[in-house]
Amino acid sequence: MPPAPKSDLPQGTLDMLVLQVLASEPLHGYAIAQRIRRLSRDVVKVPQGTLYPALHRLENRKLLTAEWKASETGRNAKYYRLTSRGRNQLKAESQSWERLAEAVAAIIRGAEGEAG
Amino acid sequence: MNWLQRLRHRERLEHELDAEIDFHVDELVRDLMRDGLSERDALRQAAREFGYVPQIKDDCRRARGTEWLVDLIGDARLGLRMLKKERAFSIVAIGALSLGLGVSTVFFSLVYAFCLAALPFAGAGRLSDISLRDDSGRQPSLTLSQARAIADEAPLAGIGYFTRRVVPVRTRDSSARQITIAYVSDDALALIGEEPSLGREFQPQEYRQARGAPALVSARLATDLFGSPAAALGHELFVDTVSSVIVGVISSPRFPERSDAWQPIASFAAAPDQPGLSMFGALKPGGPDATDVSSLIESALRRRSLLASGRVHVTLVPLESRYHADIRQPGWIAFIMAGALVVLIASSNVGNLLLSRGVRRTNEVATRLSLGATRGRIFRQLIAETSVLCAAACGGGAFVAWIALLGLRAQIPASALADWTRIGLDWHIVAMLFAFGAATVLLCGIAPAVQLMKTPATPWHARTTTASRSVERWSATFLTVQLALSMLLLCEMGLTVQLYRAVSAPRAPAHLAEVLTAQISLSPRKYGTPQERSAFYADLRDRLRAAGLITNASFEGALPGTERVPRHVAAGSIHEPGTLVASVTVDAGFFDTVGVSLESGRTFEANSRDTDGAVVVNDRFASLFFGATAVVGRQIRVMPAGDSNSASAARTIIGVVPSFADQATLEPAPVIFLPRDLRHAMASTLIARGTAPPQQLASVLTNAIAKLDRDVAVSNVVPLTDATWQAQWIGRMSQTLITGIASIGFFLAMIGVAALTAHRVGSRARELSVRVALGATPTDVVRAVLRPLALQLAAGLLVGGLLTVLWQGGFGSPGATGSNLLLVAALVTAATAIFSAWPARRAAHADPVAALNSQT
Repeated sequence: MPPAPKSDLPQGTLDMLVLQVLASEPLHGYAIAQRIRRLSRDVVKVPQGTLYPALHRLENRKLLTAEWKASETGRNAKYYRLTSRGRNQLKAESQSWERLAEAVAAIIRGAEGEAG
Repeated sequence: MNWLQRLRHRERLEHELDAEIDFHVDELVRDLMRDGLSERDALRQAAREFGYVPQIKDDCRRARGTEWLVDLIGDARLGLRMLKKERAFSIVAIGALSLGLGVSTVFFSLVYAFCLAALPFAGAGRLSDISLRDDSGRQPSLTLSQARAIADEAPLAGIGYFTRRVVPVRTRDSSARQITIAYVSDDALALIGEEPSLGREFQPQEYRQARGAPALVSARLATDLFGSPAAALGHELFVDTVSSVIVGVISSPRFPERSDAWQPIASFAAAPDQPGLSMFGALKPGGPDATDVSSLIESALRRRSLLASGRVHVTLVPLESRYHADIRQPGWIAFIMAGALVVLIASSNVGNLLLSRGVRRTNEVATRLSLGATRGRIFRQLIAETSVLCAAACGGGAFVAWIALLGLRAQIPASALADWTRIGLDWHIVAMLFAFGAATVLLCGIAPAVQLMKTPATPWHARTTTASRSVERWSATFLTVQLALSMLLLCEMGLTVQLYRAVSAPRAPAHLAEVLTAQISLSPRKYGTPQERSAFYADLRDRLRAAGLITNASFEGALPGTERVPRHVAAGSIHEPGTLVASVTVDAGFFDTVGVSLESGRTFEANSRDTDGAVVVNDRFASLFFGATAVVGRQIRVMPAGDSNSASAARTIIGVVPSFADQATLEPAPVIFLPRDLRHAMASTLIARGTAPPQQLASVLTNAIAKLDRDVAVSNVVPLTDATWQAQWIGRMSQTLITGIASIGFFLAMIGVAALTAHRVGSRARELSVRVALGATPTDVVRAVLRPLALQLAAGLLVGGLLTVLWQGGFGSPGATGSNLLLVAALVTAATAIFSAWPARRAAHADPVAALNSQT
């Protein structure tokens, strides 16, 4: 059995990234993975398979809805769309993340200042 | 999509998941090939980037939140397959548990019906019973004037009272029959939500109508009198000789006490100080509580001089507690525990069977463990299998209970229960059955599952450790529990059967088969004075004798042996306050009619005033109080029970009769017979002896009464033996129940003995074969197999004996005699020997070569 690929992302961040990527338009799983990779300029390396449990979890929590339709290649794909509940969740998580990021940055700046 | 839909559309979701992942991987491969990789390299790269697909699919399934249920269903399916595969095991285990669960369900149904079921009307919880209670705990009933005073003054939201009377009723054309009528106050029916299903309620002015008030009747009485409930409406009914019109029919009465008809209490011809009323009221929301209300009522009654004694108080208790048996009584606790014991025996039995089966499955479990199954997964699987078994047993238990309850209901006379008492399977009972079922999973499934879970993950190692000491220990514990509990139940059964037989078979030399009995009741209006009543009975006695065939007749308060009143008696060497002795009130003709010859002296004389100071005693009383049977002419003092300080009445012994075994004791009890004063008897049990079979006497008796007065109600004209059989339904039912559970418990324990011995023989086959090969005789082999069983039998008998003594001490049942215990111990030992003989004998005659070959 090959070892499961590890994610570089902090725990729980993937859900927020998925919601953020889907905020602009409905996408299928492969497109979501590609978009995360492109937007992060290849910094965030999500093992692509781990995306699907997250998508299914968000769908069950009614933060996403999904429908099958033809993709750009003509093949049927499952497209995920953000629900209004998902949009609210994204807003709340983004704010929380920004506060946390600012706090972490402030701590790091402060620590560097004291060290300097 | 909710979790249930996700479960239902599981296959579609699986297809979609496959398609979704395929699409992703294909797109990734396409892009990689576009970037210049070969198809082979692109596929390899895509697999690396995507991750391990089976793991990802599992994660997706878990994300659906239904995986645990899917696993559970899978486990249950496997459990079902195992049950089908091992049919003999399944039949025995499900059969044993079905019996145990069925019996406990029957017991719980009875407990629920008599102790727990809510009264059948809305708001029963807010109603309180209002009654009197004196310092010695007696409950004198309310009089009409007390009830009216309480209704006037009690600060309650509503109040109702009623009195029930046995009265004759007849239509214009029919002869009189005896019914129970409830005379009710204005709000009594409304407070409990009693409404006629046909016709109308009483109108307000009808509650003031003293004569000719209308009547409501039960559908049962309406059908008996007029053929159908609807046909009764508007018909004339003579209630206690007074004409009345039926204005309504109640199909399913909710009235707290069983009644056939209802009339406004104004039509009840009674003196204001005549007791016999029941009363209930609804507390005002936010008003005074029950204690305050009872104090206020008591003050009001004292102010109006309606409470003669300072020792009598008013009490308010929830209405349900008045009409329910108290589940905290030792008898009911013993009853519940007896039901639980059978479940425990059945669970121990199945636990043993599961342990035996577990030994056979160690290889299977070891293989699964070696293939990567976790021990938790194995445990869950085994518990799921046991749950499937218990669920099947719950179905079987419900069937057993249904059949048993049908049989029990047939033993209970219809008139013995209130109309609203329901004995059967409702949702409470079924819920309890499944709770018992879940408990049995814990009782019988956990130990075998834990035992099997400990199996080493190496199958070759597992095989060598099959007969572990731990399995043996558990098996021995289960068997000891079964044997001990069986012994306890058998001892109780023995005592109950002995008591019932003692009660139902009087030792007096009476020839009861030739005696007829009937219930008669006089009209209170026509026989309002003592002289009128006395004259009626004398006239009827003469007419019965004159009619031929009937030689003796007596008029009793109840069937012989069914009603005894305890009284303090001081006589001979026993001085006041005296010993409690059963007293029976009998008519002058009683002993002649039932065929009991006096040992000495004479009986009471009909219509003789001098019998007021006379008493007849049985020979047990004579020997206990005077140490001799020649006691005619001696004096005794008789006082009411619980009030030995009250003025005692001196009585002279005029006769001695042989002892009757007519109460629940194994030895004849001392009994005194007091003369019945027919001047005060509105209703009687007529006992008649004749020269023809009882069936032929019936028409003579009913014709004689009809000719004398057609308003006298005659009912239940049956041979005395039949009437006694009907009256003894409680004893009979107790005997049926205890015999049933003791037999089932015993049978289950013996199945356990056989299963355990067979298991031991199986697990020791190699060792026993070696013994035989080395020269052991069949007797040696049998001894080797049965030796551990003998230890468990001894432990079971010892624990069982101790439990029996504790049980009888705790629940106040008659003490087990030494011979009783010895008899049961001998029975259990003999049955254990018989049930273990076959597997032991099989081991003794097994071919050692074949056994050794099969083990290698």
